[in-house]
Amino acid sequence: MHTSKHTRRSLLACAATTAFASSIRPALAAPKTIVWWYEGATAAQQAALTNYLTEPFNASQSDYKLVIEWRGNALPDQLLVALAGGQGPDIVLTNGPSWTQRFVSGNKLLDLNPFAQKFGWKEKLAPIVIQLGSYDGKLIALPKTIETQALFYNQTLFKKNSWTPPNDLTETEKLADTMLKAGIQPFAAGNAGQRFANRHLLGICYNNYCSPELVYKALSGEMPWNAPVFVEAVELLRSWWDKGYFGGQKYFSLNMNQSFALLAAGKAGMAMQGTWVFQWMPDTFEKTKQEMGVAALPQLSPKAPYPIFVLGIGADLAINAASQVAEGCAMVLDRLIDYSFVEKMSQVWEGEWNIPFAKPAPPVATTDPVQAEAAKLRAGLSEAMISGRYGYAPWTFWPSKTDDYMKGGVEEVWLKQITPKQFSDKVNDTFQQELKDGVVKKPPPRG
Amino acid sequence: MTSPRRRKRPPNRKWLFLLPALIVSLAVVLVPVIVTTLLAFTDWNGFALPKWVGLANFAAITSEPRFWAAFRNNCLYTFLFATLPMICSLFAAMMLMMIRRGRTFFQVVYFLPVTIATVILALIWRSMIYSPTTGVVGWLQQLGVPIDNPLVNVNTSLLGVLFVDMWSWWGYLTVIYFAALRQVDRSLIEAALVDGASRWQTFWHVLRPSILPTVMFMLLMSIIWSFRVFDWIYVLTEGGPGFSSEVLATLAYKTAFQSFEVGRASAYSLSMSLLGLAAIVIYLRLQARREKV
Repeated sequence: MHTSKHTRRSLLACAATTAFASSIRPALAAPKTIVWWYEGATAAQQAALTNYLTEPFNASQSDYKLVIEWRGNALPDQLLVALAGGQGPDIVLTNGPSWTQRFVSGNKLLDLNPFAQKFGWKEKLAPIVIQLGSYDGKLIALPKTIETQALFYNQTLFKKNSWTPPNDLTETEKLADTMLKAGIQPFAAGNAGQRFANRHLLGICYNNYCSPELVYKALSGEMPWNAPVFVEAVELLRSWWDKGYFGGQKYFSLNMNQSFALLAAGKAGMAMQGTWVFQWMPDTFEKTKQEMGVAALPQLSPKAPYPIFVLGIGADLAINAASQVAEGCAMVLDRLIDYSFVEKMSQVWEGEWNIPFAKPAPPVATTDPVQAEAAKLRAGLSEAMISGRYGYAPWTFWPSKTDDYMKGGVEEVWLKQITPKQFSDKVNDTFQQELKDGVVKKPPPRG
Repeated sequence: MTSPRRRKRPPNRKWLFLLPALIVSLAVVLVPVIVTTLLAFTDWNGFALPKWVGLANFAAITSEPRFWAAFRNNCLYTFLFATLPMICSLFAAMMLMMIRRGRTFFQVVYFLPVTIATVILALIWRSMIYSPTTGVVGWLQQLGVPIDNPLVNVNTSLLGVLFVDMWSWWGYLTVIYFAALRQVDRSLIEAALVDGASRWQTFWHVLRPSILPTVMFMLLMSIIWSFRVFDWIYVLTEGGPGFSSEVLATLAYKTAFQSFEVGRASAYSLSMSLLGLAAIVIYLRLQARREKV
């Protein structure tokens, strides 16, 4: 009897323990979710990230599960609100160093130094991007991609007219005037719904007319933005606007893709654009069966060297300080900083995953002319970064308020509401105030 | 035995029924209003601790030409938005009163734009109507019609946006006014016509007084909605070219989300709200005066 009672009790206890254990096992074994809010991406691009990042990462371990949420164009605003409220994704994708700085001031991002040491990121990445991602000795952000600007042109049109890409200001203006006479818009450009495009043109004039050295001095506060040389650069941009190089008022009606259509159809000859256009421009040329060409941007005054590769970081990766899965996030970041990942992504998503490695990635043998051109630009930028002869992209180095003013202010110059001098004065006033407020990230010393 | 006078009155629990709506209203309206008001007196970038600066933000914004330009744009926008669609919609509602066949069809057509998201409508107008490459404007240009995209000219950009906003709004007003006109006692109209009143006299002396409360209310709503216009401007012009179509709401948004000056942006928002409040006060005074009469 006693034995039977004991056995029954034991059985009950055993059953209860088993039931309890089985009920908690899934909870213990369930991988923790890592959330990454990503901006907009096409279906093919989303598939590429799933195939080359999410699935391999999730299959490689059982502790974490990476989930990418596609947030579209509203991502920057959503991030600001979420992070300010101590919420948001685990992996934070910002619009580059000037945006990252704001999150740093509120201690919203984690110091990556322990992970950098563990995974050897500082040895893997170019020193300059480590410097740009560091704030007060803490490594806060890693670049998702680096960008530069180049002269894209319609090679079919150029061949037909025996034109060559211009190297300096004289050649540029001579070619642009010839195109205008032939009824061709010299530069395909537009800012409808994308007013940030204005400062891409302004940045080119500052770098390629004034020289990166002077831009560095101005960004460091050693020289004012209303110095005569900067005013001259704005005057040059206005004179190009006045001559109709950007299509006149049509500029305000076209968005980037519509302007590419003009270029691919031969209605426009050239476009001064960033390397991000490799994502879309080749497809536009594919539709018109014309050939796309890429060259370095022309030297706009003897003060500037040639060629200049502007360094831009349009996207930073960081870890939310409130994240409970920081270790997992670091594992994901480590996967991104990998030659093989970049190589795979560059074949399906050109122009967006240019991770700046300390040692340039081994050259990829390709027969694709577009990929070959993109690789050439990457190599040029890498060399410029190593030698310290790079230029400065506005969206990376200019503080937010100055950047915001430049977008609308340069339109006022074009529309003759203010003079280049008045514009430069306002840029300088805004910049000096931000410098005083300590929100300007000083660029690394030039090599 | 308890006398009826001494019987305890049941506790008044009527106010409990107000609670759910009151709590929601407090949470979504009052709290943000208080927070925005407080932030307007601070220097805050959205992340670090806010720093109390007193009236400095208001002093700064009122010394900015951009603020006054935006304010002027708001006033012009509101004036035109509150008057032109009202005239058009009253006229259209009167026309609808006169016809019997097709009334429902016209009401549906007029009402349709209100059922579509503003951003979608704005994108349709930007790319399918105003665009010189993919829109009706471009097609007309090819036909030789001297027309241009109004959004690209500093003198017409605000009016270009306003036109789209009015287009989406006037049909809604028409349906509302038509409904109000149908409530007017038909015998009054018939009596006026029998007495030899013209159509204009019938409208002015019989219909207008009857629908005046509706007109006044819609006028107030038009003023409030147009004064806080944001989406149409942001999608169609982003406040440009230059700052020609900038209004207070877009200025506040850019200041908060692009320049990271949340304190100053709150000052813009508060100024906008105060101006909106002034419109409400004027309306309520007019309403009270009308009721006294």
